[in-house]
Amino acid sequence: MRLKNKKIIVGCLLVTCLVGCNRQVEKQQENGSSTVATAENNQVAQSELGNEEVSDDTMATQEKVSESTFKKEAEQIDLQDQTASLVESQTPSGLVDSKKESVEAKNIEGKVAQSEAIQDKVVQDSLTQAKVNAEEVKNKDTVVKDTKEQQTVTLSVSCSTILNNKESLNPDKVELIPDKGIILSAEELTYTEGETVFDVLVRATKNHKIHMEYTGSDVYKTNYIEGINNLYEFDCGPLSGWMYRVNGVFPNYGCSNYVLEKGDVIEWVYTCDLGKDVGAGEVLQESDK
Amino acid sequence: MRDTFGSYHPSLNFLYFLAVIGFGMFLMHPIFLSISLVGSLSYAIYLEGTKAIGKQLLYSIPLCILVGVINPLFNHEGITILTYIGDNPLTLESIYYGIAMAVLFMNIILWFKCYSYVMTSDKLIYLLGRKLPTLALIFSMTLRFVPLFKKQFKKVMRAQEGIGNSSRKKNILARIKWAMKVLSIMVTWILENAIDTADSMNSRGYGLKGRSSFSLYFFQRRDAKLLIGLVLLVGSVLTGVLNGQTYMRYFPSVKLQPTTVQSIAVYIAYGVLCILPLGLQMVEDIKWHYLK
Repeated sequence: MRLKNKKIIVGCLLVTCLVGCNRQVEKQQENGSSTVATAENNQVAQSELGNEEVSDDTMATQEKVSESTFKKEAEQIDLQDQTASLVESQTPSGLVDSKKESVEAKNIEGKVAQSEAIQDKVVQDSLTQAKVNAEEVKNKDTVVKDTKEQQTVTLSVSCSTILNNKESLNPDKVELIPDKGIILSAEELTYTEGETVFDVLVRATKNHKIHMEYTGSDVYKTNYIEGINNLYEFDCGPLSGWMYRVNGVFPNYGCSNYVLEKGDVIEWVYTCDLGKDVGAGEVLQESDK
Repeated sequence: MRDTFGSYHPSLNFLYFLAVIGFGMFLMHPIFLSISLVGSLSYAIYLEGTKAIGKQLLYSIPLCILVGVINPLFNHEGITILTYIGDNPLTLESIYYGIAMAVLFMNIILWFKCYSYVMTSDKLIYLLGRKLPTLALIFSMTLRFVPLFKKQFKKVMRAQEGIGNSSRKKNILARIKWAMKVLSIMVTWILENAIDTADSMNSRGYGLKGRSSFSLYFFQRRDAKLLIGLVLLVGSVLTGVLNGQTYMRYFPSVKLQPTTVQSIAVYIAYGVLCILPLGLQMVEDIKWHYLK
C-alpha cells in the first residue's frame, strides 16, 4: 500500500515535470518556426503588408535578407536609390511616403495570400532587421557625405498632457510635474554616427540630472522607457506612458532602434491616452487595420 | 523556559500571531518596523535563548542584507540620484526601501520563530482539527518539515559515515556523487514519511465525524481578559492603518506622515501589542517574586 502510494506520488511529480518541459519545448518550437517563416516568407509577407510603417520596415528587411536577389531586381535597385536620395535630403516623413508608394507598386505584384497570424509574426521579426538594415544604408550614405561635420539633434521632454488629466494622476507624483509640463526644454545635442534616440536621451537626462529608468526587451531588441523624472508608465491612468516623436512622426518601433539623422527633432511626450492625446492616434489606428 | 503567554488559550496565541505577523508584513513605516523588531527580537531571545537566536541571526542577517542590496539594483525609482548602474540611476530612496524590506524580512523570520515555539502542532490541531482537518494536518506537517528534515539528514549522514561512505573525500566529483546519494535517500524518506503520517492519522480516525480528542485547554477568565485587550489593541492599530497613520511614502521621495496625537496613540498601541507576551511574563514573574 505504502509503496503504491509512493509510486503514484512520484509518478505525479514526473508527469508535472514532463508537462512543464513539453510546454517549454512547444514554445521554443513555435519561436523557431516563426523565425524560419520570416526568412522564407519575406517576399510573401511584403506583398501582403498594406500599412505604411510596417511596409517601410519590411522593405528594408528584404533588402538585407536577400542582398543577392536584391541586386537582380531592377525595381528594387530603383528603390534603393530612392531611399538613398531621401536620406540625403533628411526628411523622414517624405521618406516614409515615397516608400509607401513603392510598396503599393509592389503590392500589385503580390501573388501569395498568407494567413494573418504569420503576417503578424513576420512583421514583428522584420522590425528589428529592418532597422539594422536602415542603419547600414544610412551609414553608407553619410560616411560618404559628411564624416567630420558636427552633427546635432534636438531633444525635448514634456509631460504637458498630465496638466489636463490631473484627476487621474497618482497623488504621490503631483509635486513632480513642472509648471508648464516641460521637463526638458528643447536643446541641441551632438551625437556620433550610429547613435540612437535612446543614447541621446540617456546623455541628456544624465547631464541635467533628470531621473530616467528603462528596461531592455529581448523580444523587440530595444529599450523601453519606463519613467522619466520619476513619472512612470501607468502613473496617470491605465493608458499612460512615455512615447517619442521624431520630426513630428511617432515611429512604431523602440527608441534604441531609431538611428539618428542630422537635424532630427526628438520629442519625448507623456501620453495619458495611449498616444491619442499627443497625436499618435492616427498612426496607431492605421497600423491596427 | 516557562512561557506565560503560551499557557493562554491556543485561540489567543493564534490570534496574536495572526495579528502581529499580518501587521509585520504590511506596515513599512520605519517606526512600526522598529517597534516590531524590538518586540520580535526580545520575545524570540526570551523563548529560545541568546545563543540559539544569535546562531539564527548569523544566517538571517546576511540574507536581509542581500535583500537590502538587491532592491536598489532593480528598483530605480526616486528623486535622489546617487550614481548610475549602467544607464539606470541608483537612488537613495530605493536604498531606504531596501533597508526597510530587510528589516521587514527579519521581523517576519523572528515572529515565525516565536510562533513555532508557542504554537505547537497539538495546539494547531486542537484549533483547526475539527473544522479543517486536512488543512490543519498539512499546516502542522509543513511547519514540522524543516526541523524534521534536518534531524533525519544528520541521521543519514552518520549512517553513511558508519558504513565508510564519508563526505570527506578529496574529489569534488565523488563529493557530488555522495551528496546526490544522500539527497535521493532524503527525498525517498520525505515522501514515505509524509504518507506514513497521513496513513497513521487516518487509521486513528482523524477527521472522522464522531471522533473526540483529549485536550487540556479551557477558556478561562484571564483568557477573556486577554482577548478583550487583544481586540482593543488590534482594533486601534487597524483604525490607524485605515486612517493612513501607518502609511509611509518611499517613492518618488521619502515622506513621513506628520506626527499627531492620533499617530502617537497608534504607535503606543502597536508597541503594547508587540511586547504583550513579554509584558505578561514580567507581570507573572513579579507576582511570583512577591508570593515567594
